[in-house]
Amino acid sequence: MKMMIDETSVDAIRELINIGVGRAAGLLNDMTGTHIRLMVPEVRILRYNELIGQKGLLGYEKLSAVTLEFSGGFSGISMLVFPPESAAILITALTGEKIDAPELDALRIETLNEVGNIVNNAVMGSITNILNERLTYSMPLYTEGNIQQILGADLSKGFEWVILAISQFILSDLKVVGNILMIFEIGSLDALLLRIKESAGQIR
Amino acid sequence: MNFPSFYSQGKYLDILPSGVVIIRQDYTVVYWNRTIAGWTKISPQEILGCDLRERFPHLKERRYAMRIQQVFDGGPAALFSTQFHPHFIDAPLPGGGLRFQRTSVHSIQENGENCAVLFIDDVTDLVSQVKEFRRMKDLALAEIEERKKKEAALEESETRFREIFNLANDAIHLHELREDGLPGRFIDVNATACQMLGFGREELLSMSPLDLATEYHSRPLAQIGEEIRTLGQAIFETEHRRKDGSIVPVEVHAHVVVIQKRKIVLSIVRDISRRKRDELALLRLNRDLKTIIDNAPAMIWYKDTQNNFIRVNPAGARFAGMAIDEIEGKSCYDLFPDLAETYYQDDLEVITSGKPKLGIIEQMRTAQGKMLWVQTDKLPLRDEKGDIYGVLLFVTDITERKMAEDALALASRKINLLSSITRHDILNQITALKGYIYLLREETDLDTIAELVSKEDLITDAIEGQINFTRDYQDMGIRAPEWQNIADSVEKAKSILPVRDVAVNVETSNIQVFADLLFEKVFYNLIDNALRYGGPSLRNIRIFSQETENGLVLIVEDDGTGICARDREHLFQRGYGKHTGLGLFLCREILSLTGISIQETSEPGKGARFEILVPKGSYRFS
Repeated sequence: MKMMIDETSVDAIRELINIGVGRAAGLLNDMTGTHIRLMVPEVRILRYNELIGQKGLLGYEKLSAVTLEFSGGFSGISMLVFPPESAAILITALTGEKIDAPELDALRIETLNEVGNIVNNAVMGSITNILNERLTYSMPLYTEGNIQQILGADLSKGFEWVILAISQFILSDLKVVGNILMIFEIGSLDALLLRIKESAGQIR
Repeated sequence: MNFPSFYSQGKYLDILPSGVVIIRQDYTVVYWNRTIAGWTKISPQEILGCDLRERFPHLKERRYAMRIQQVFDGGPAALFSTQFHPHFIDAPLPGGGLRFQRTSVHSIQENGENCAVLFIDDVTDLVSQVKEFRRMKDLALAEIEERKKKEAALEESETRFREIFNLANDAIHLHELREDGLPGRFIDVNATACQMLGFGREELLSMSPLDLATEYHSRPLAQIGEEIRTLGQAIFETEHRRKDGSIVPVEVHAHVVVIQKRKIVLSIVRDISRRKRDELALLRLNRDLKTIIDNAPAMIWYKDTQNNFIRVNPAGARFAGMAIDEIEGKSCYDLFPDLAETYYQDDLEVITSGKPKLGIIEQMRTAQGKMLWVQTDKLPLRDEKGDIYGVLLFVTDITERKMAEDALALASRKINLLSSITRHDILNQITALKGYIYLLREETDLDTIAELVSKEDLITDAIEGQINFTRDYQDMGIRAPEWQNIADSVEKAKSILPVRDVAVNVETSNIQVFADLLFEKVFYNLIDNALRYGGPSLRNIRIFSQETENGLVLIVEDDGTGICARDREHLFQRGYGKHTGLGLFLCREILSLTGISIQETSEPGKGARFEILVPKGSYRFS
């Protein structure tokens, strides 16, 4: 199937994600009483097999990821991935305490899981609401490891494209970087882009 | 309302350990399992059909409502962590407080209606464990911090101690303690110890203090060991042998200390070479001083500022007629009640001025009643701060010196007298001689010439006698007074006088008088006066004595015509009289040299009478 990725589509995707993270930021503000701004300065679309080779934000040995599988009109995995330092800073900033001891893993995981759940739900909610699409979701799942371990060997087979949205959590003078990954099964990105175009046409 | 498809499983959901609640979009509770009912004490009958938000109003808040709405809208499950939402549904704990919960909200479709099912897990135990873990962790961190501080302080203290240890002026030994209290091997020594002994530290650490000590210990070694064992400390002196074999006397302060549950001995070892030398020098100085004080002819008295005697030397004690220990520590008021205040006034002058008072010449009576002339020097005694704590008295017997000085002064006067008398007497004789020579020139009668020549011979003899007497007088004037027998003195005077048929009776043959050597001149003049002016009735001159309370009265009386009232008033004035006018004046002067006085006590018509008063101490019976 021929891929129909153009600049307009990328803009549309960036906007949808921005709407989602904006809503997530509002929720986090309400929850923590801390002023949080969430920004998505960069959105890239790349092939799934290129993801493993991505250095920088995904090049760490211990990443923290909250994953949410979705299926329906388009299928794939939505994922919020934090480098280890960012995860620690974010938790400290949100909870006001350090949760870095191994004995507190459950607490740390639970906290990151909720943050990831909020962001993932907000982004997916933003997309599905606007596209009026109803999807089926898995339970959110927290995993740790390098990007390969997080993705899992058996998951690699049916994926084709990835939307990589580099997001910034800005809490007062702290800047925490996380990555929103939307990994699409074969043909699912096309379906999404098609739905976006259709929606855009309807809107016009 | 019937929800058979999901709620038909209600009997299974009731046995879940989690709270399960199902609500419609309007928050109407349609299912309330047994677990949540148990936690909240709200039965299904009470809550089913009710708006959950009415019972739990916080659910209306945006942070709940918005996310739950996403679920109703078909979005993914919403997770509410314990960290951010600890009490999703308020569920009291039996002991107070609320259960901690972790909640997930899922979308379900029942009969085409969007509902949400809430799964609520009780994580109170987990939170408690976390709290406990945090408390323990904080405690551990605090302890670690405290330990770090203590370790840092200990390290600093150790460094400081080591510096002090090595910079101490005294040697410091740490050594093992044997069961008998005596020292075992060295554990540590400071740099001063190495310098003092000439051994390296490692060398000393292979030794024991007993390897250094000589045989000398200020107390038996076993006794020192016993003191350390039972009292935990001992102070003693010993000697340590240096590496080069020389000996260093030391004073050791040994203390038992417990370090790391082990009893050891910490000894401060002080080099007392210099102190020993100083002590020896001081001992010698004290000994010398005592010798000087004990043997000094002067009386030495130490008094405090309150007129008490602190110390006295043997000469002082002899003077007071007491033993030294009868004086020391006693008040002057007790020992010398009559003079104490006078002495104290002098002391106070020295104490208040801080200056010595020297050369006080005064008379003092010894315990034996003898009057002495003394010179007293008073000096302030000062302590190490310079404060005056007493007075030091040097009392020197200057009686002989005083008498010598007096005699010297009198000798000068006597020489003047001698010159005057001699010149006067000889001129008189020469005048007479010139008269006879003049008569001889005119005289032709041989018998008269022979008589005149005879008289001239007598005059010449008199002049010769005067000159000879002058020589004797001169010789005697420069010698000290002596004890002289009265009878002998009278006899000498009589021998050079023309006594004719007058009887001179001396009734004092066994009495001696302490007088100038001119003493016989007194009798010479008294007898001469009697012979010259006693008149024809003079037959006897009597010299006798009477002892009275004031001394010895020596009486010279005759049975001549006596002394007229006019003459009696001026008898002892110089130049007054019928002959030379010097005789009685001379007598008075001679006697006064040794404190003897003379007065005329005649009764009219009963001859002349003179009384010579010799004070006690100036006469004796031979």
